[in-house]
Amino acid sequence: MSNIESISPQAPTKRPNWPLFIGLCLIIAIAILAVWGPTWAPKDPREQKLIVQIDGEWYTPPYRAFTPGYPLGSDNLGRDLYSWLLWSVRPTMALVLIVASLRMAIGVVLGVMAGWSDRLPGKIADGLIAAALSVPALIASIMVITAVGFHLGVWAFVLGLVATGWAETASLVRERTRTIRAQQAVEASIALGADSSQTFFLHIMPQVMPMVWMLLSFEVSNTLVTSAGLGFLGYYLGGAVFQEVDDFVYQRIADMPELGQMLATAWMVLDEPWAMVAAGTVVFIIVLAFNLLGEGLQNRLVRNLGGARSFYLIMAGSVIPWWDDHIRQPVGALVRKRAFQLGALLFVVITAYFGLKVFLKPDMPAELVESDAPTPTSAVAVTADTSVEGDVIANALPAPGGHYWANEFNDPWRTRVVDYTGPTTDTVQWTFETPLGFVGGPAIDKDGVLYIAARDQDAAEQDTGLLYAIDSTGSELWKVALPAKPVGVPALAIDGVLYVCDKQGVSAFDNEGSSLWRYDFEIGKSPAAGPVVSPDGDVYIKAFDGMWALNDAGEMLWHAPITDTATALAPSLSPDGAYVFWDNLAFRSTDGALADWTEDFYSPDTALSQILVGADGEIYRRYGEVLLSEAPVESDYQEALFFDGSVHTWGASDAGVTADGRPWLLARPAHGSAMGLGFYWGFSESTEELSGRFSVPQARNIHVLAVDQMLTAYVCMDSYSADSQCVAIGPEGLTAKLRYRLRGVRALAGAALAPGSLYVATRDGTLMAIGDDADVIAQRGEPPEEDNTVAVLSAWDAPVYPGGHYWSHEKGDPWGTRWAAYDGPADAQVLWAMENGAEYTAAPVVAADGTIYASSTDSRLLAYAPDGSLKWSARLIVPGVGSPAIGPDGTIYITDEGGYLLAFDANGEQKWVYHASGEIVEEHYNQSTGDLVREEVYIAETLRPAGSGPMVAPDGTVYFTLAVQVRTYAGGVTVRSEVLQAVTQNGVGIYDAPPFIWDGRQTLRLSANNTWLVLHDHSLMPRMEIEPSGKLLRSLWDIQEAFYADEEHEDMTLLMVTGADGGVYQAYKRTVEEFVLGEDGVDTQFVYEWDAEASPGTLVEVGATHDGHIWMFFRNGSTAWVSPDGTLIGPVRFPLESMLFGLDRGNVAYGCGSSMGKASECMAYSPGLDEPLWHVTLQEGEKVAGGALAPGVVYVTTEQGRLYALGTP
Amino acid sequence: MLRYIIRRLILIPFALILVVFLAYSYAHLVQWDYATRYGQLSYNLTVYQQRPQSLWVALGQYVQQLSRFDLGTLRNGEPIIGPLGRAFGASIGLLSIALALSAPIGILIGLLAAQWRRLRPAPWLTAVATGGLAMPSFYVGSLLILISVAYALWSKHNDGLPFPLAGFGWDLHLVFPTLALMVRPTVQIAQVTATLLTDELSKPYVTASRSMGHRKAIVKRKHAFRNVIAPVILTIAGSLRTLVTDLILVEWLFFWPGLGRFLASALIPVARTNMASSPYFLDPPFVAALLGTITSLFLIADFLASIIVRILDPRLRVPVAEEVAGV
Repeated sequence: MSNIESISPQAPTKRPNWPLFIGLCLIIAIAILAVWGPTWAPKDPREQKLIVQIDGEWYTPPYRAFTPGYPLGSDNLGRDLYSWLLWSVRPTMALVLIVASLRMAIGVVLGVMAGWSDRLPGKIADGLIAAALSVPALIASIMVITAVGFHLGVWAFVLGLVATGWAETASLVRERTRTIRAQQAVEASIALGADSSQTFFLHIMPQVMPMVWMLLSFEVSNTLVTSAGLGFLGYYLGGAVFQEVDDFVYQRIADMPELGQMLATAWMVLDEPWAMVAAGTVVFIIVLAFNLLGEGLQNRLVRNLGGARSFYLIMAGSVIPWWDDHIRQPVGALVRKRAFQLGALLFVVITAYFGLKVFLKPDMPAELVESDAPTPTSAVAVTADTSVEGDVIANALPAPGGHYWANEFNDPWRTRVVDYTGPTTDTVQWTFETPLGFVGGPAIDKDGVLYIAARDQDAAEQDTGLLYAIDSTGSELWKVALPAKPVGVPALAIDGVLYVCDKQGVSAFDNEGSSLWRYDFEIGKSPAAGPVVSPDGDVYIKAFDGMWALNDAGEMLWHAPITDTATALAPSLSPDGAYVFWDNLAFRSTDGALADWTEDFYSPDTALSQILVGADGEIYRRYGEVLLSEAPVESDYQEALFFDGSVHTWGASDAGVTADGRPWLLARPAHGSAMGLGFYWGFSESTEELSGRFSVPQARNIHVLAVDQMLTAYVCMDSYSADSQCVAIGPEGLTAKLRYRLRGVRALAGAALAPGSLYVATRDGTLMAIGDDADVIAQRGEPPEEDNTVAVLSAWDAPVYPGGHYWSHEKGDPWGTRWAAYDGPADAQVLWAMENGAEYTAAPVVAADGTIYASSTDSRLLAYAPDGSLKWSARLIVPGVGSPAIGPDGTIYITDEGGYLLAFDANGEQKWVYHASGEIVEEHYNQSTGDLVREEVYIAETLRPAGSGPMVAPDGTVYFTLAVQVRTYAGGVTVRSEVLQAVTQNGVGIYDAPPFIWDGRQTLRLSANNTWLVLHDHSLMPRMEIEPSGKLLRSLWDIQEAFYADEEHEDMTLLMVTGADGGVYQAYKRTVEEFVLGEDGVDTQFVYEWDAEASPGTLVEVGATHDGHIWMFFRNGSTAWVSPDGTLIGPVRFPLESMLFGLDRGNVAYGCGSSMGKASECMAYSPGLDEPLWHVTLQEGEKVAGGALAPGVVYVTTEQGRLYALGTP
Repeated sequence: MLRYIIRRLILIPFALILVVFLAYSYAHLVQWDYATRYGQLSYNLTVYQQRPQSLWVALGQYVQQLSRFDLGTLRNGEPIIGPLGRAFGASIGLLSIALALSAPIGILIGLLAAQWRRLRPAPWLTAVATGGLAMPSFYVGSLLILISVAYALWSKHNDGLPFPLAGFGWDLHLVFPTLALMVRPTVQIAQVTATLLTDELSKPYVTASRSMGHRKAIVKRKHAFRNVIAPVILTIAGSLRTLVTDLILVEWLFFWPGLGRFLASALIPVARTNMASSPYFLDPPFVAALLGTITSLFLIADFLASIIVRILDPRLRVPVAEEVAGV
């Protein structure tokens, strides 16, 4: 802007003002581009095209400039740069104009202030200008944006770019104001008695105002240069993800066209600078245009200073006197003083409002899709003959031949609906490895045999293939070699003949692996996807040059060219077999003639996206996110509207309809991250409502695998940032029913669903069978859909923890019974006391071999032999939290303060470490409408443990909780929120996005039938039942509602526990009840009710022993038993501040505590005896941290770092 | 003069201390803000490094450290002085080469474009300057890369690119970064020189000098130019400020391991770049040292410019009498 300083005060010349003229022309062009550019974009800027054919040659992205259809080339995903560029001017210019206007307003106000006032305001303004000038705008912007965080979106940029950017304008305005103030006219005006504001408006402003437009245009170009620099460094509007394109090579993929982003994305590939040069040129032209405009305005300014009256001056001269007399005087002194500030404010508000309107829909909704809509041609009515005859029945289109999975999409119609249920667990039953990787998923015949194609290499290192037949237990039956690299998924014909495509042709095999025939394609016309076999045996193959039809003898029937694209998408058939559908094309199956179904648009904006067949036997047309059940008449599609998903989604890529007419959609969430992909269930009754949705933030290659009998959709996907996974989504669920997280897998080849099993093949060569044991599958008939309250109770039995461990958890076992199936010490003294040096914070645990494990605050996990000798100590990075827990196999688990879960074997070797990763999204719904109100995202890596140790279920799954955050409610009540984590015994996370977040501190316990209970010792949310999948089954409130629907129940349940007898008990203030299974279902039965006077105080813990004795432990240390016949035994007293460790086989209660500062005492009370069996006084000053019960011994840890063994010598 | 120099010199440490203090506080506060979001960082800070969370405690430790002439260590345990020294060397080299080239070239262009008895310099300069000033340095850089790639693609030579596209080295690696850095200061200097000189050439003493028979070139170079040298030198010093901004972008583009690249990696979160987890990100002693270095660069350049200007232009020297009077 240095050229402004060189204003020459000499007489004007008559030259035409070229800079002004050129600048204005360019700016008009830019404005047109910003407003209409997106509508001119020939393609959807986000549409990816991974291969194109030009003159018979195939090209992969990035396409060079001048590639046909890609005038400026493309990025690495094949997205058209020209379209991207046309889209990108608008958001960038909006941001720049907002920032420039704000800078301008601040600069003019502060500049005038600094130049006009000699008093404090002027000095402050002076100081601010000097300070802001000293920091380069780019550095200041980066620092501000980093500090406020770019999650603020556009506001972070506005803040950052405005932060010090106004300074130059301010200093120029200040100089100008000072110059004007020194003019004689001003002096004269003051001498004539004009007040300050009159002088200001009649003399200062007329001379400052002409500068404003010039300054604004320079400001725009300055802002653009800075924001382009920011973008170049990675700070730009919109989000982006990094995709791994090669080992350790990541590529940035942005989701919003913006100039800065284009610069950022492009520069990483230095030898392909097209994108950057293109974006840079646009930046250059815009900067140039505004610089020219500024210069032109400056030239004008210089000329007008000589004598010509500026518009403002003319206006001021004629309007201001009138204004003074008629408006200004009446309005009053207050407004007069603030008029300029108000004007500036108004200017900013208006500019910001219009500018921000552009950002209100940053996700670019459906208008994007309008791009390459072909013109309608002839109107051929083809719908009439495509509907199935007869009534629509449940799954009208099962896979032919009784096969479980006949091709890539289960059936030739691509319905993906199956007549069985998938797995209910995520156990990996077996894996099968191939060295070079699979190319697609398996096909499964009616005997459950899997056929899958894999890559191979011959001796000359040429790509060849292998076709495996694998039985349902994972053993290889046979394999045959294929002559070239296989393509897609094999397909099964109705008679069991197997077809498999490779790069050179297609082969037919019988189910023994003997070749029947082979058809070779010409070079360059090789198959692009797996085959599809019609029920009458014809084979359809999508090759790179078009669609091919072969008969069952391997003779070509017809070939239909598809010219412009080559997606690896297999074709599908119409229900009656009359048509072959591919993408939005329909070929007649008899001769391959293209039936033009694209003629019917339901709106001028949207072209037919897909022709699909529902499991109800109907044909649907998908236009973007809208499903129509038949061809619309003219432009009126309402008649034909089946489902409209455009309210909640955009960018749909696939859809389907179940047998009962329920639609589903694979699309992007309308309000989420643009890189997110979601699965959406519709209702069969509604055309717009969603019954379920499930979205994953950074998914790619997502595809719907299958929809099973229970309307569970199995969706598999890779991720930009995490492992691949398959998810089972129920029809109403907002969360996954099950998640099959594929540890270490980054690219799926394919998957298939068989009864009770999910088969997943990966590109690096592993085939996994996930699901239930074979006998479980065999037993499973109709899935039970009974009242699960009853089911829960009837399944109860006395819990037994496998592995024979004595005291595997803090409370003895994962059910928290505190009961031991052996006798404790009948008489005790200190057998040994081991000093550790650092305090223990929780109870020890005792394994089957008698080893005692405890964690201490000096970050160690200690293992002591029963004789008190230290077996080993393992170093943790940070101190452990809570008690360790012992798994059925003897693995010791511990959570640490870093939020890690660590697993050690019995020798102290660390087996693995687990930490939650990724994002945990908490969705808040409006209670009345059910709408998603907001989402909170937590980075799992930052979460801390919730304060208790892990819990290990009998199946070896480890559960622990993480604290999410502390919420502060009205009145200053702070509550911590927690999430549940589940990890397999091999250290694999089960739900990386935990299904729900609860408030309050919970300790994990298990119900007797291994339905998860989350129990709280106090009242906030006493009980939640969670399925192993992590889904919330119900909370206490639901349970109470179910049980007490007919009666008022005033007391709030304090405790709800599982007893060692398998019963479930709940306790109120003075009442203990047991749930019993009555004739009418579940009922409660009083166990004991205390009189108000006789009650020893507040109940802290309740439990039941194996023989049905109920025990109660009170806050003041009182302990009482209730025998099965209802007689109260006790109470007896432990010291005032006590802990009850547990009860043994004889119902003897063991505990320790101290009263009023005395030394801690440990004692044992036998039911019926008022005096303790024994009592041992610990060393002075010791405070008990916890205890564990082993046969004949009680182990006690103290906060002073001692581990005591108390028992009979 | 001496008093002036001393006065200017005294200001430098104060400004430096202020910048270091602000930079340290900024990085410290923002770092803990990020630590609540990024587990790795928080783990690093609390568990491995055991950095204090209180700003005052941290500042106290930092001051103690500085008093031992220790700039501190990075998160990976490396002493800051090592990478900082290397980066300083790399950047100073690049900056001085760019300035050493652009100042004479700019002045030369300015001399050529200055016109006699006109209001403004030659129109061709306006065109060049408008274009040059509209070109961000990274755009110049990407154009250079494009030209290289085009050259490699369409030329018949198979001996690779004429200049390396990225990397560090005191050889041909310098060419592209220097060119990308030079464009803006060169046109700026040329524009200022030409404008001031044109103005100067219409003054009566020039006419007088010409009437005495001095040749145009002599009058322009010897008489008029000497009168405009002071603002030109101030422009050169001032262009250092824009150069540092450009330095960040150019070093980023060409993988030049200098101060600008470090500054970007110290201030931009990993999620926004593709770099592996940076040990520099918001590390308070590093950010403080980095910004302190850049500030001292500014301050010293400003100081030197004001001294040189006073040596070259006698009009700016404060008369002895006034200096004594304390004006």
